[in-house]
Amino acid sequence: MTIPLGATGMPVLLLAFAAAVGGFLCLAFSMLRHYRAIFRRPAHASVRMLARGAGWLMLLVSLGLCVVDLDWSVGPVVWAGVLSIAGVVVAGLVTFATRAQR
Amino acid sequence: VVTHYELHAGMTGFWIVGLATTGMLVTLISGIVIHRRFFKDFFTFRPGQGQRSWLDAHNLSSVMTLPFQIMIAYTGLAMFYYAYMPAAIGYHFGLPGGLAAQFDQASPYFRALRPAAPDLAREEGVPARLVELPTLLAAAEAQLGQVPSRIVVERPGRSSALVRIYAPPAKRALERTILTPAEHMAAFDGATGTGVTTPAGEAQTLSGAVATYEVMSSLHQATFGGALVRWLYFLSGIAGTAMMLTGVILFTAKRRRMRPLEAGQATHRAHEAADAINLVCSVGLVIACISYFWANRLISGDANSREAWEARVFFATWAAAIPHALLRAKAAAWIEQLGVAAVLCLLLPVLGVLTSNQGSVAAAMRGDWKFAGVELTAVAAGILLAGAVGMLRARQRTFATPRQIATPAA
Repeated sequence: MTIPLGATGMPVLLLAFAAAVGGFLCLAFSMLRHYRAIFRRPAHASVRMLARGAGWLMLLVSLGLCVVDLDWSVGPVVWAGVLSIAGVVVAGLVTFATRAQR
Repeated sequence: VVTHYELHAGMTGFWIVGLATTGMLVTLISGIVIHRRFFKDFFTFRPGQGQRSWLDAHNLSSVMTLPFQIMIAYTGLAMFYYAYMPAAIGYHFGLPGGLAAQFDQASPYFRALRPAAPDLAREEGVPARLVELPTLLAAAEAQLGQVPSRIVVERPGRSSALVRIYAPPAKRALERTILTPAEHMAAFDGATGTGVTTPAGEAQTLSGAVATYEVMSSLHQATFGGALVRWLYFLSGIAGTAMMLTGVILFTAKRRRMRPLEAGQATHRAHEAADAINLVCSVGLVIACISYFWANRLISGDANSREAWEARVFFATWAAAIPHALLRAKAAAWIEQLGVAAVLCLLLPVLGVLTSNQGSVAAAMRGDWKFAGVELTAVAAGILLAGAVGMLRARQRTFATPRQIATPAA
């Protein structure tokens, strides 16, 4: 059974999705409110800078993977969709982590 | 008749859709501007906190899929530029027969825009025996390196016959470009069987404007990228409807609280009517959509005008949701309509087994995911709807007593 996903197959796009989730997670860590809610202590400025840099970098990696798999025409469009789903997933993870702390 | 961009109402509906889409685009942009905490709230969802949770859900569903929402509204408008902004076209090419005629793709404007059609009125030639097609097919396959999919013969049986053999663009190319790639073609002189270079006037290159238009409409209709892109569009579209639903529910709830006397004596009734409209436009529409699938499976395949009857069932069930929403108490109406939608969704595969010779499970086993996917998606929707019913019922039980005290007017 094959589900037609992407041109070179699932793995590259799955990696792109994973990178997007990781990137958004880092960006969430870089935000004061989410960091405090998850780790129960204020974030150090350097940690926040690091998380922000890593987050943007991983989002770029995600775009790169989409383009490698689907080229410059379809790749960015699929990346936008991947970001949308990853964003909702990360919001769910942050909510879950915040509630688990209570 | 088209519902998607004409609302079954011809040009009137067409203009309504245009206005509504412009409104959507304006709202999306202004929404970004007025949402001051856009980035601060980026990953925030606080469930179980009443109105704040609804606002979080509203922000989340819209912010996350914002690129999609703007794209779909903009490309939807751009696709019909020639109807919504006809002045320049009218000035240069005229608008024969009023606005409706713009849809005639053969108007002078579109003729000027498209690459010239092949010259069909060429020399007729004399009756002649043509080279056998299998010979040409083999030659074409050798030339294209692909199995051909389409044959066009011009002036068959004449000495001037032209045979064109097409092969589809590579699947990989189809998946990797938004602009639909051209087919591969080999052309032959039908009488002699010798290869012909592409006949004049058949250049496949598009002008910049036409290519832009093709990309816009392709983006809007998701005619690229295969199943993955369709699913992304589906999920983003669902998020868009969730944004609108949470938005109107928040709006009516807030309005009820902030302006309890805005329409004098009629205020309570007006607010109830707004609630009913929200229900009919959200859950009522879901019932109408799933009824459409029921009609599709219940009406015999060879029945006359089956498509028309499917559409009638859609509108009839949707219309039936209106009196129900108006007459029943708010909480009961929501629970009942959600329940009906859930049952219809969950039973769709059962109906499929009863009315067709193949069930979803069998189709999935065969690898026919297009067939099984529809019913699996319906079942997933049914489970979500049933979950919503459960949540509403639990809440109704919790709040039953206080609410009776709170509304002595009832």
